[in-house]
Amino acid sequence: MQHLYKLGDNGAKFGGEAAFKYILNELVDNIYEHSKFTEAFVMAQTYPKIKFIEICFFDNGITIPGSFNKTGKRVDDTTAIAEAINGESTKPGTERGYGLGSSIQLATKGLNGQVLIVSAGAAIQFNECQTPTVFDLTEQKRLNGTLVSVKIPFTDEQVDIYPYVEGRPSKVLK
Amino acid sequence: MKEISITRVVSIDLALRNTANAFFNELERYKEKNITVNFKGVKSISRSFAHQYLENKKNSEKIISETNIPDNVEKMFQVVENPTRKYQLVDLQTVCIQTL
Repeated sequence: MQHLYKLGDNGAKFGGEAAFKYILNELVDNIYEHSKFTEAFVMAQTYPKIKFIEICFFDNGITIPGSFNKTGKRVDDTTAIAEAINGESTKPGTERGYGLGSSIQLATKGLNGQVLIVSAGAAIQFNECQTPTVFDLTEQKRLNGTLVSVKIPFTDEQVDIYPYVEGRPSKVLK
Repeated sequence: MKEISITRVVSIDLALRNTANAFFNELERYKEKNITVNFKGVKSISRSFAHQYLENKKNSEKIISETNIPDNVEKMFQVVENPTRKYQLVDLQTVCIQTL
């Protein structure tokens, strides 16, 4: 993780240290917690001319729908991803399931970024207005794993992460 | 009473649930019943780490207390201890699903 933080200069241009690390930490933790991967990658590229960074998290694990199926919850791929985003955890405990949704909220509303999640046969994309676009993928485009891409425009602003982390949209001022 | 620096055992950045578990496995090995975790120098904490830390603390037979908790860590513990409703970011009833 320290290597990732350094690559992003501790979030100096991406909403500050707390925001940058929060997104990295929660999305990497999800891979360890849920995916049962054998290979996983975090890739990042900055685009200085158009002033944004794209960070991509990929694992070749059981996918989000596969994780739901494993717990006996049989839903279609689109529903599984939507439920994971909305906070349904495949692990017991009501205090779990905040990581993905709060990271999307922080990246889009907090940092004016975009998020794309692709897992098995479905994908959901959020723009900076947080409007979701939902895709059913044909068999040829199906992904054997999960990919989360986060695009964040450069900003010198230090974003307060707590309104987004708390999970109460009414407290978010933007 | 034993005092442990969490930055020495884990990191200045407290990120993953499994590192919180590993930290508590380390604590359980000490013979002392009372353990103080010193948070001096912690730069960041994820919600997941904070939750896992508090869960492990609740389930531990040790008496665990904290010292030198930075404001950001304290805030995250409060967020975890006072959970609010989760964001409902996707309502499949109202979105149009496209086939790619």
